Amino acid sequence: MPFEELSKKLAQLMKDTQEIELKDVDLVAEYLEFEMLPQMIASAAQAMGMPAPGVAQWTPAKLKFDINFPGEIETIQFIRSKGKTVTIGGEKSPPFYNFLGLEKRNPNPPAVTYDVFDTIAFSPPKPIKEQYGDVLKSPPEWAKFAVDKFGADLITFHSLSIDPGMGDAPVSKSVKFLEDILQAVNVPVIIGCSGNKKKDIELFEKTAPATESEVLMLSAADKATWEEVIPLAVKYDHNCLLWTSLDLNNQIKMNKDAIELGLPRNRIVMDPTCATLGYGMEYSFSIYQRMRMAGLLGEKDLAYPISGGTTNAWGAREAWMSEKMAPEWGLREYRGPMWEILNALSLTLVGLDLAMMFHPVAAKNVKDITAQFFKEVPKELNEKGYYDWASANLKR
Amino acid sequence: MGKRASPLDIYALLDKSNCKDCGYDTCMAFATDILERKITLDDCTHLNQDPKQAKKLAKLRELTSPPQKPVIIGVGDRKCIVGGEEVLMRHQLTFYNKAGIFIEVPDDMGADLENTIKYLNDVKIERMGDTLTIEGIALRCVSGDVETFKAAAKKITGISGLPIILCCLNPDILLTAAGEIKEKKPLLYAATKETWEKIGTFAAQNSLPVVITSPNMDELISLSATMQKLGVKEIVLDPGTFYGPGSISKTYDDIMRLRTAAIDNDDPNACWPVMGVPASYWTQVDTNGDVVMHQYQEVIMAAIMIAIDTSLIILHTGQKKDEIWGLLALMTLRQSIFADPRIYPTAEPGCFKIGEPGPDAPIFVTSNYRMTKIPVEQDLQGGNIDCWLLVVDSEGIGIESAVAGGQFNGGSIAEAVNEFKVFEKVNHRILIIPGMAARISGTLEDEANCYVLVGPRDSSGIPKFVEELWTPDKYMAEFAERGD
Repeated sequence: MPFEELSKKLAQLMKDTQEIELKDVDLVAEYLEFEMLPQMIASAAQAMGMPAPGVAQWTPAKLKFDINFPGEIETIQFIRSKGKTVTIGGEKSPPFYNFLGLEKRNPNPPAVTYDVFDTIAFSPPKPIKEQYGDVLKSPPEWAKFAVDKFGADLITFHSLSIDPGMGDAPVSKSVKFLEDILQAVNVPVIIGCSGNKKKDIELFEKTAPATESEVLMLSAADKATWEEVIPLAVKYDHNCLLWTSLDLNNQIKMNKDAIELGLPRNRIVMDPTCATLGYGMEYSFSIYQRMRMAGLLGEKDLAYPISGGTTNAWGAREAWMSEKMAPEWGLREYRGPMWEILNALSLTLVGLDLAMMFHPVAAKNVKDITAQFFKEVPKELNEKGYYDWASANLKR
Repeated sequence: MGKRASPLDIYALLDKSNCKDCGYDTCMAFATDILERKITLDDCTHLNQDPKQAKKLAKLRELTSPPQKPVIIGVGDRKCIVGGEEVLMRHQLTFYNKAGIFIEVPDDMGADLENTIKYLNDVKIERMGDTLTIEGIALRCVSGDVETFKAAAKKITGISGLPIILCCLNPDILLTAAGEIKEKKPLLYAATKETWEKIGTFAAQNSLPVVITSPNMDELISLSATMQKLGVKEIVLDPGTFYGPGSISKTYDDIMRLRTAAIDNDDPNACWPVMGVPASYWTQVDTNGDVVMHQYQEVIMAAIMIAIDTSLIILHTGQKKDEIWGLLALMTLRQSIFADPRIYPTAEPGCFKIGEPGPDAPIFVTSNYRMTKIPVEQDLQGGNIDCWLLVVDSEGIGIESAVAGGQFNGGSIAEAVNEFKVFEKVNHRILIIPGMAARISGTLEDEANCYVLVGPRDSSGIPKFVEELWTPDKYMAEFAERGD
């Protein structure tokens, strides 16, 4: 019988057959290939123009997977001696994973620190000016406003104007501002610098001892200043932000150097540079993700919390440009804060523990949404509410 | 990460003849690009024409098929491929198929339907050399009426080539409309534990992709096994999108669990694209008060989904023109997450002519990060400014980071000035640097022996800057005085 005919006949016989059992059969062959049979049936079925064989039968199955994270990220605290404490880190799972068991749940939501600058000569974007108004002229009032009005848990005070290119203000002025801010608010404060090596070292030399009774953070030690700045954090017991420029290996190296200089593991926060949404954010995204996964898989030299200046989002013209200049992008009032939210939020999904933020509405949204991940899953889900979307009138 | 094949695994199954028919010099080169998904196995004529190679071809197909299968929605130029991913995290390789953004449209819009579809068909944002668009329309059966739903489906396919998801939990209405436009390959939403047989049979017979949905993951996986047995060839998984404290964790966990099971554990039932419906915010949460605040919550959920490589999302916000801010933010995030991490977006360093620069034309300096260079160049061209653009090798890093990191400094700019003989093109020695790089002025003046003018912080300010402040004679006079 020709093959095609045979397979057609076989296919007819085999229609609706799931299994063939051979009884009392002798198979005599030098070489036998069992996979012939299903192939033959399939080809025969095709030859007859039938749809692929389908069986209507409920088939129970279970979702299974196997993943394991043996590492743990350091827990870092910012402590006001007579005020509030903020804790970050301590993760045993990738960000927001809740399905690896209760004991693996991450203990601390990402923290948000609100930016306060010693000058507004750089002209903050209009949506932010509108939120803060006159207090922008006074750093202590600005900090107090952020805490009282917007619920800031942390403040970063940036001394930009000490840079010779930005006014060359004396460091003593920054020390005074910092002391006034610490008087005005009871939340921890991060001490931010200008980017000028000489002045920054001087800034930390003066501010670190002046705030010795607190555990704050020196922000930051970089490749130009680390040899001077890290010992100050060690001596006066502050956290130290170790800042590198989008390079994983440089970050590992600086982390190791800090340990060698005597900085305790629980005083280290990493900043591998936070790039702007739309302008390279994905580099930060992947570096954060690699660092965090490495830390969780047991690489001790990367098992530290990550901080990022998500305020950089406002450098994107999509965030700050007025609708008059860019009508095709919609209202700035909406896209501006959203830009900062997405910049910060997407990075929290890959390991950002501390977001340095600018617009209070953006900061609040990031805090609110990330906090939601740390609540218990309700026992009764409102399933109907979900499936209603397909047929309901949706508000606009 | 699952065991990904190596080029050698592929090479071993090729005929190794180095015949060059495919355009590659060697079978090894062919194997490498197969894994990079630049070409397909169909590009090897030997494999496909020689019956003796059939087994090897089958083996190769198995080796090279991604652990998460791709699903195609729609036909023609705008057909949308979702899923088909090889890795959980973009740095492990790259994400291949960007999250499909589908905008919901109700079937009872009446005369507004046509304008809405036309807007959605054409909406686009040009960004850094890419054209960002949405991928399709999710038509919802709000009328509850089969004729209205069917007519809306026909109307949409008549005026737009955008792929459609037909959304109706009543299988009779769903399948009637699906039958009407089946040659457009709509995605059917959705089969449940109650409706799988009817919908699955129809989908198998008509080769249509189907969404299966359940908030219970074991039930969802069982549905997947069941539908595959029924002969359904393309499946999309919808674990449900739940809002609110704790509920959002379930949403996030389920997407992660499904992706992990598919990609890292080769689960034969989880191996499909995963979708989310941020639009369901509007039926789950009390939406009184400021509507934009609520739109924010929807856009935020969509952003979380895009950031974790969810294959397809359905949005409510974005349907109207004044909601473009939401699409702008989401499509930019998507452009970023789905950029190929193996390619660093640098621009070629050099001194580029913009317009017809004369001897006193200004020279603008920028970095060789592509996302910096392109907008600067566009602003100069758009402002009709005749000038030179000096692109400095900052190792592909943007201005702000490169100033802080030291890649964009007096030394590197001075090098570029020499290398590209910049001052030979003009009769002055003035460089205009970005406002963000103000602090390097001093060192640059010393290193390049020039006068440095600090430009605006953003290149959009250049036209105004040139009009008001470009007085080269004055600066050169100042420069000459300094030299004395």
